[in-house]
Amino acid sequence: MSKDLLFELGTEEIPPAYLPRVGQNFLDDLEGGLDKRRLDHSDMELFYTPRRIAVRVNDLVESQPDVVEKHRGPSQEIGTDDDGEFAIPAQKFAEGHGASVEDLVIEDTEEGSYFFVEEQKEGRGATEVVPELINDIIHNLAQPETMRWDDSDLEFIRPIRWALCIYGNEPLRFTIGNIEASGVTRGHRFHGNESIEIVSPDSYEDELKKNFVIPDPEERFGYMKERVDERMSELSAEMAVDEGFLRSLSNSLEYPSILDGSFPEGYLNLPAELLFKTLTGEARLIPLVDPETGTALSLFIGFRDGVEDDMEDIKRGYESVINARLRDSKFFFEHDREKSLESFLPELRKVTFQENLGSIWDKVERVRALAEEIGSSLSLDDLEMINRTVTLCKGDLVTEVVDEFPSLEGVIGSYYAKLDGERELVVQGIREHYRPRSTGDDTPDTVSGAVASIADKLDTLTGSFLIGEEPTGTRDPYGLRRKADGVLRTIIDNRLVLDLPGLVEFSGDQFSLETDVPFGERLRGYLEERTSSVLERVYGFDYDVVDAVMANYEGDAYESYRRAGSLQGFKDKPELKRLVDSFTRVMNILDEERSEDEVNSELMELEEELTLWKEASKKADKLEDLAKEHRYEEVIEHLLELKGPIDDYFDNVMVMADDAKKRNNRLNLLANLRNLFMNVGDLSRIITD
Amino acid sequence: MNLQELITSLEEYWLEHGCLIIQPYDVETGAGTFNPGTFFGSLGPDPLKVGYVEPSRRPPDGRYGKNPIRVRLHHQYQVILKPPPEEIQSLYLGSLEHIGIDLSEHDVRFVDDNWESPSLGARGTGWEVWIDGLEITQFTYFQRVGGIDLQPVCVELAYGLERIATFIQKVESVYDLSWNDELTYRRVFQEKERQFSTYNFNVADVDNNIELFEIAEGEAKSCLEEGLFYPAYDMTLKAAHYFNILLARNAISVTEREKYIARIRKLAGGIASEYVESLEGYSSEQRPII
Repeated sequence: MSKDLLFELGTEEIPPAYLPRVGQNFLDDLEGGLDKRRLDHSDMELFYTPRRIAVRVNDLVESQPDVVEKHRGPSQEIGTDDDGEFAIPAQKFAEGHGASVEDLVIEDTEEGSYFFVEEQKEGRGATEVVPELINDIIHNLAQPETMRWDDSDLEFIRPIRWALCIYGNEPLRFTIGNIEASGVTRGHRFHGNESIEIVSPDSYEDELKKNFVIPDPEERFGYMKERVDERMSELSAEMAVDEGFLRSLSNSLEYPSILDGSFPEGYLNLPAELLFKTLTGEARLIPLVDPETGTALSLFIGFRDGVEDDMEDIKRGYESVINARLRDSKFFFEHDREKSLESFLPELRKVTFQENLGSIWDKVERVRALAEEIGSSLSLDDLEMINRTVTLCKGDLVTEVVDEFPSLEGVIGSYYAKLDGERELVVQGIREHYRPRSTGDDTPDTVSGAVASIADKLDTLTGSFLIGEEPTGTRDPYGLRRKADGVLRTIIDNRLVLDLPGLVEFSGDQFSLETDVPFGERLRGYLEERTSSVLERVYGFDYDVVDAVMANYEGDAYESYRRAGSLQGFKDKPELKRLVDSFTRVMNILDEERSEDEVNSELMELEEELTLWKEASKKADKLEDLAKEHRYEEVIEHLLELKGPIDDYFDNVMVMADDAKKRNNRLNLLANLRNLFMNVGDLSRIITD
Repeated sequence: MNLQELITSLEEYWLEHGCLIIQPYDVETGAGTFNPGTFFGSLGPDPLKVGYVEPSRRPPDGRYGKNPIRVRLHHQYQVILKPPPEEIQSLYLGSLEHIGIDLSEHDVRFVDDNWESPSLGARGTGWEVWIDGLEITQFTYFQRVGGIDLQPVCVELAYGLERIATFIQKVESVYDLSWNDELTYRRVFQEKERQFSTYNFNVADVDNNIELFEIAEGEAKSCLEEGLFYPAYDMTLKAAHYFNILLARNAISVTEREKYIARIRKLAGGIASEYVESLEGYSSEQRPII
């Protein structure tokens, strides 16, 4: 027999950013717990609002299945007395499992003969197991933060105020901390009943909806999205936020009712990002743009938690609040604009970049030197503008707007630079130099942004490695992995040929810090590791292609990327697979250390030997030239031509000859061949199934 | 409802609900949290309900009396409930009904906003309470004060009186508020805002204020050595006030700011431990409560 179970935990308002995760963790723990306790069921449904997390378990069996447990007791020797009767240890053993000595059997095991008893374990009822399980879950649930609110030992994300538990048509009553689970829930705080009896699990949603709570998060989100779409088309407007914002809003309400309002058009003169941030930030309103032009409108959409009455008054309330916030933003903006971006720079001396690594201004000076080094190594024409970009790029950190809206760093500096009449490349560079901010973010498009971004991030990496703050597999408090990946992606996307190890050394020299930490070596290793990861994860090359290419990594990420691209293009061609097999024979016979000593053709006595040598020598210079020009496809085409000679060589030549001179000469020939291949990579690492 | 009626009405509500009603503290504070009623009140083991108005000085928020909502000195109504009753949220919402707001006609929200006071070594979990988008109260379950984990925990309700009044009186600017039926907030406070803003931002002598901070800190330490945690606390409040003036004067770099805060926190932590330890030495009739 099975019945549906519904459990709802009533809380004070759970933060929307955490609600879905906490809900999902609860569902997962319940599913795992029921499974472990052998309580079968069909599907499970999750519900949540800021004030409740609920799960419905459909067709939950009434009890665990009965099981027979077999226990081993004392050995036959210990369990039998001198008369052959059951001795005390055997009697105790039987008693301990609720059996009599007659139930004991003797069985032979590898360790000798032992007493055994079979115990019939009756499955426990769901009504007994579920309360224990739920208590266990609530006490141990993984949550982003917890708090205390009363004298119970419970800690939870927010105070728990009620619990509803229905199994079949009966409430399950049990204690959680200081509260009693019962058959009663609560409706919307202002519009619903304070006490709603739920008679069966399947009436849960309907009862709550009657009381102005939409418990299903998907339904609530869908409902809001429809309202927003309708309203946008009425207003001929489009949202300036993504659906994630709307989803987060949907997790902060039990019963959404839409409203729209406006603000004075004068605020449209503010930078769009500042305007949007003011609306979406603490006010959590949806900014709107003209769908044709993409420019901001002096309108917003919001939601009320409650019924669709009194909306005019509520809308006026929101308008007056957003008006005040916009006035503040305008005040900050105008106050900042009383002086130029450049005149903020001296303030940067007072802001610490990181303990032991000086001020932000110290950082700017290091980054400027590094950017210049990068710029000259790339023979760029725009050195002066790159220099200007770096000089100004952190200036907005001490402005009032960034103090109020930290996520506008870079963006607002860029506006100020434009208003100051800085050149476009500088303006764009300042905006772009934080990019990529995340894995999904674009890399800089302008040369000034790209160089400033690389230099800024590399400086942070060098500094952190210098003071021993390296990221580990589990700990990366400064987000260094993202920074390293950002450097590499920026280099690759902008096709920059840079000597990373050299730059790491140059960057290290900019810090006036004495250290025993071999930070340069470690950072170079880290960047190499990240290059492999980025080539595979971001650019989608197969791991064996990356492996082959990185076997010949010399610190030029873009070059590695190009070789990987060429090799990937050949990977599925049968001729490459055959070449890999041939080359693998070369690699198998060579020690890692063998260097390419002079080959003496006079020591060659077999035709195949001589042929391979001639073919390889003919190609050596050619391939090196092609590689220098990054024409790796052509390199591979040439290598393919060597397949025949290599195979003939191995079929006819005994490399490990008894004569040491001959043997060495043959190995040297193969080492030369290996170097030829290394123009692309270690092809023996390609998996050819 | 004018502002003084609003205060009276809140006071009446919390009086009815058994609060000890005390007066604003006579040393400068930045928020009701700094009043001894909250700092000491939250720490001991005994149940406590307390309510009071607190004029809260925040020199950096000054706008020379020109900004309609930002002021250097605003008024909080502060309530501490230890331990918080189970129906604490309804009890709080009841106070809003009591001052005449029909909650079912508005959009009332509890928007997550955890609170932390690095200088008091205090933190709590809670919300800002919104009415039609306007933040009117900070509602916090204090978890820790003066570096000590609270047992029992308490709830702090910090009502922003000017905010609530602008909402009730439907005015855009605090200066248009009626303090009573005859006098506006403008008459009572605007010139003070102008003068204090000018002092805090332009006139306050940086070196003198640094010295005042250090004198107050020194006095607090001497008091603490003698086990005099109450005078030590007053001196700590003074130090915190001079620090706030230095902040307004923009005389402190970010790094130095952290160091100053750490110095205040150290005093607050010392006072909290001294206080909690001393409570064990009193009989239950004599034990200080705030």
